[in-house]
Amino acid sequence: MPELRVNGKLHGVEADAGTPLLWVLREHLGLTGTKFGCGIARCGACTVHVDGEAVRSCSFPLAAAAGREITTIEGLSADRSHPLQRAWIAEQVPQCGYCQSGMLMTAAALLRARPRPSDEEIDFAMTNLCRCGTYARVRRAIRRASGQAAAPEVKRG
Amino acid sequence: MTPSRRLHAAGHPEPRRRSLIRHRRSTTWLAALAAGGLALAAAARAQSEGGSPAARVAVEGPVVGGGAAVGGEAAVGGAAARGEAAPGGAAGTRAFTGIVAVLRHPRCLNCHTTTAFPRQGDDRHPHVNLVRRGPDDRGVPGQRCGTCHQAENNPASGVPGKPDWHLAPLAMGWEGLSDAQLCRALKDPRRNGGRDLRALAEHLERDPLVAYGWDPGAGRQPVPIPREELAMLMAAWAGAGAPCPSAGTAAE
Amino acid sequence: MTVSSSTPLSPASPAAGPADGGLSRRAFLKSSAIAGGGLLLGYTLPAAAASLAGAAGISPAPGELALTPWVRVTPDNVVTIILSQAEIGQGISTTLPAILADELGADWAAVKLETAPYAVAYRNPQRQWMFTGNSESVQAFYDLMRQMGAAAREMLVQAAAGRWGVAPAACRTENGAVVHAASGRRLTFGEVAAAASQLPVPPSPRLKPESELRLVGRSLPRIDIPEKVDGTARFGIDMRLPGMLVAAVRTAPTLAGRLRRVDPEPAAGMPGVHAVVPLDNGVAVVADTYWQARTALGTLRPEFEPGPDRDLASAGVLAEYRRALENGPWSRAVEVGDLAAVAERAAGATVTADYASPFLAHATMEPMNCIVSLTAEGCDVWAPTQGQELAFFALKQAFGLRDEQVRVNRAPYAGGGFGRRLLPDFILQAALVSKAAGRPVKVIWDREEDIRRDHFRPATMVRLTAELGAGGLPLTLAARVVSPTILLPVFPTIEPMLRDKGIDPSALEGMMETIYDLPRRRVDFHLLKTPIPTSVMRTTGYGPNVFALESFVDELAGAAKSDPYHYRRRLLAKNPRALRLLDRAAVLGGWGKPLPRGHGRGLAVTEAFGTLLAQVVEVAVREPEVRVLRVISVLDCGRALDPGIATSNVEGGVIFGLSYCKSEITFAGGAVVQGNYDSYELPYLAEAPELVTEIQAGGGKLGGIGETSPVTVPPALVNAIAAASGRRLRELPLSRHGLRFGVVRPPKGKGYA
Repeated sequence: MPELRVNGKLHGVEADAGTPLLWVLREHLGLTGTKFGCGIARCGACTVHVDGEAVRSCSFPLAAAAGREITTIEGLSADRSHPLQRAWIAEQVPQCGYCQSGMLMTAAALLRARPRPSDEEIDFAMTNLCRCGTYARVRRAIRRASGQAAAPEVKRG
Repeated sequence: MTPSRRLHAAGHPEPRRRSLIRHRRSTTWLAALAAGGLALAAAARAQSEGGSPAARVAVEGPVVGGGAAVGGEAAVGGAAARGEAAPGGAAGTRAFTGIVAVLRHPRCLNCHTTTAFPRQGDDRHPHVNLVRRGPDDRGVPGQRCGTCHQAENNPASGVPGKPDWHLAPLAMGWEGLSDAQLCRALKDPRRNGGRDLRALAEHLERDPLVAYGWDPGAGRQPVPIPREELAMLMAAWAGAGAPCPSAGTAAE
Repeated sequence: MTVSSSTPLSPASPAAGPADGGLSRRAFLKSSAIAGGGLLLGYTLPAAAASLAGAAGISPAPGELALTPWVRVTPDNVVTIILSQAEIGQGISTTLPAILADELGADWAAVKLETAPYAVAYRNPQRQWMFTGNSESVQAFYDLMRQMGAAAREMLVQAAAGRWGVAPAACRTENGAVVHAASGRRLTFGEVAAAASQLPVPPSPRLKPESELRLVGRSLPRIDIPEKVDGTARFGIDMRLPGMLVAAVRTAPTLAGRLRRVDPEPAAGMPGVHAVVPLDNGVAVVADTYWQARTALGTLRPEFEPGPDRDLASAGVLAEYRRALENGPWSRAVEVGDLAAVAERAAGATVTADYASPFLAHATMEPMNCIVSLTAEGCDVWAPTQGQELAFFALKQAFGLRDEQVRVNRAPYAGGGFGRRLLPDFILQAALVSKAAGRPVKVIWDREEDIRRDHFRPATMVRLTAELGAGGLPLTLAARVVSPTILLPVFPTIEPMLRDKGIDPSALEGMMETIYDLPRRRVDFHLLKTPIPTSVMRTTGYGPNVFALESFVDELAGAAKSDPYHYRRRLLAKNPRALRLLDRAAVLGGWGKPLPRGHGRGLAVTEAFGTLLAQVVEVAVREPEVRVLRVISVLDCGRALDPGIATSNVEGGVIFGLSYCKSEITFAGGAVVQGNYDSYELPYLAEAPELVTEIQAGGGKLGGIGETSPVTVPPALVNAIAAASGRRLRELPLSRHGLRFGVVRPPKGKGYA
């Protein structure tokens, strides 16, 4: 039985090798924090980390996950203590919340690569879709978590 | 389940389409290869004498056109493919016309952009999700190419894949170049990753990411001539001294 | 919908409900102990599962009004508040319980929430219907929440006072305890709950003076947010039942298509597959997991009858709209003043313009899904629904069930609603699948099904005609509105109004009344018949109607050679409340300050859902790109029960309003063209403007907040584009004009630019 390392634990998974990691996580491992939004890697609700890099798990087959370190939103911290989770609460980011797991995982990957991201870096990293439109607060929370002041610069010229 | 039909992104002007080149099979490709092999050495020598690099074209914003190749029959097959000598390097030029048609095909040109973003689709719209080249041609922090593109095409999501999916470096950007400019860019080791003609042929014939052009997954037109035929054209072109057209068609 | 309780929208209800807000009518509450000696107002609810069985069947005793089990206190001092309204992102799961907890004196930090099943007790008291929508949860439940909190408080106080031998009036509650100020004695709610539960429920509990409220009016940390940052929040799609199977569904490509036949053979032997279920318009595969179901579904080759309307296409549909716009026939919805008897007519100063809003998809981030178990014994539903009552009645009717056989439970969270989840269609479909499979089944729609089987916000066409007086102000305003129904699918009881009057009141919102001084007005409505499924979507009729009106006011200003802000000031001369807001928005928006070439500001002001709102949008246009730089929103919702939540609704609503300008649903060959977020695009973070939001409390009635700010965004945007570029866009979305949103901060860095 293939083994999957998720959030530091090893799991045996019986599923077709082509099953998207998204559905393995949700249905075989009961980790429902990672969400299904579109299935075509457009919305980012399914974002997890594979070896620390953001990956849209609806487009990542189980076979490719062998031997890799998978981190889901459940593994971002044990207790909502990740700086992004703290910032997300402080800024009251989520509304319906469905996109936020993916949003957080993408933001975490961004901060890992760029501990103090510029507005430009935030703009082009955070392409996760949010139907409720929480974008302004997502940006503020990322800046807060990275120790930066709240507001971006809007060039008026 | 097939991915939903791709429509060009709302609001993006649709580039003018050029008819794809028709391909013809040659039964004497072996002869052409042999001739080409001998000529490669000669051509390599010629190339090492260098030529002026084409001006690097940096294009801001969306580039319209630069799409599929010029229609025309002379390019593929024909005299060059049959290994016939033609007067004054015309065979080589004809071979190159066939090669350039492939280079300008969306499957190639979409990643050989001169911009900070890839294109996608047969209509070559700017890649969705605000995808950017990033500092290392592999996407920006937080949205790397590998965020979505894996080592193989993914039938579940419709996302194409090959190992180490990434953009060709800007120096290898081909958008907006005329045939002549493209030819010079292709041969210039300062712009083509330090490749001689043999390595260039190797790249086109064997590189795993380049293989995508012939295996792009559902809903995408592959490169319209087989990869072996491209190899044959490369050999013919190299065998004729890898001549560049003097001017040739501007790629819009 | 209009707010007044005299609206004809209240459906007939089987049980009497409170006729008005009078406390005495709500008096009769039973209390009973739950196992362990806790206090439960209303029913015995030993456990959630058992409550499902009984709640729908609980009916008020003779002489009683609605029994409302809203609060539970256990001996370990946990206060659980029952939540009737669906949390769809608007924050209602914080605000309503906070009102009750405030009145009660609970320790807010320790309050737990529980989701109410469908029951008469949980109906919207003004509508006598259990649903969440129309931005009216707070208005409808505010009084009830305070009363429920006060009643529980008095019972707890009485029990403690009894134990201490003091007068109840000498006691108060705070932070989950009863306190006797004079002696400093304290008893927690948990310690007196058993005793309190033996007391009669006070029929007219005294409400605290406003000055004593500690939670209401404050920006509270939302109770649902912590779960939404660590993946533990359970949406409908996450729920699991023992023995449950999962189904994937594919319906006909055309809207009216029907299944002709499907050979189940290819799927039957595939891993995990339990059943292939033909539906009237599609086929479902039931399996152990979703991916197995979906994979197996992909092997089937169902044959479909395309059905009537196989040639339905956008061009033809819009042509019908235009024909109706020209020819009617019309139902007169509003007639104010005598348009014919106008004193001074400025010759030739008649302005007419047509405006068009497109078909839109709800496209909630969580696609439609639900769990249904339908057996001979009855039907149990767990769904991220906004419309429990409609689902209840639809299931009863569809399957010939009795009241006590149907139990509709709402999943704790829904990934967006926007009105889509008011409809029971996906629940009925899942019930059919469960029945065929003989097991509980969770049906999940993929995004393509979700978009193609939406009930769309319909297109609307509006023609406005005004005659201008010598001063440039309109003497008359005549409106023609062409729209299909939006309300009928979610409130079937308005059918007589549609049939007899030809009017859909929701589709006319935004036109029925006006904030402007327009003493001579006429509104005619044409109820368009279309085979396209349509329904309400966030902003209801306000969206398309205010788009037309606020665009038109700008065009009138132009005709009068006046600045749009100053022109509106004159129109609002008799509406000081709106004028104040407009002025404030103009100040915050820097109206009148110089802008670079290609930049422009646009204004819109309206009253929607009981809330006044003024908005300024600033754009930079360099075709084909429109960058939306800033959006200033100033609202007066009467009273902000939670300013933080109100603000977030407004902020998110701005982006939602921009989505109305970005994409549309089109039709070809009888089918919906779009299928996923690749063809129905939503705004990106990088396209999002800077937001400035101010919530004012004008002291008037409580206004709705959830749907308000998307209303003014489209007209303010097109007005800004007109100012920036000279182009007047009378239809949406932007793509019809070869325009698109651009990234607000054009990239500069290496690898970005």
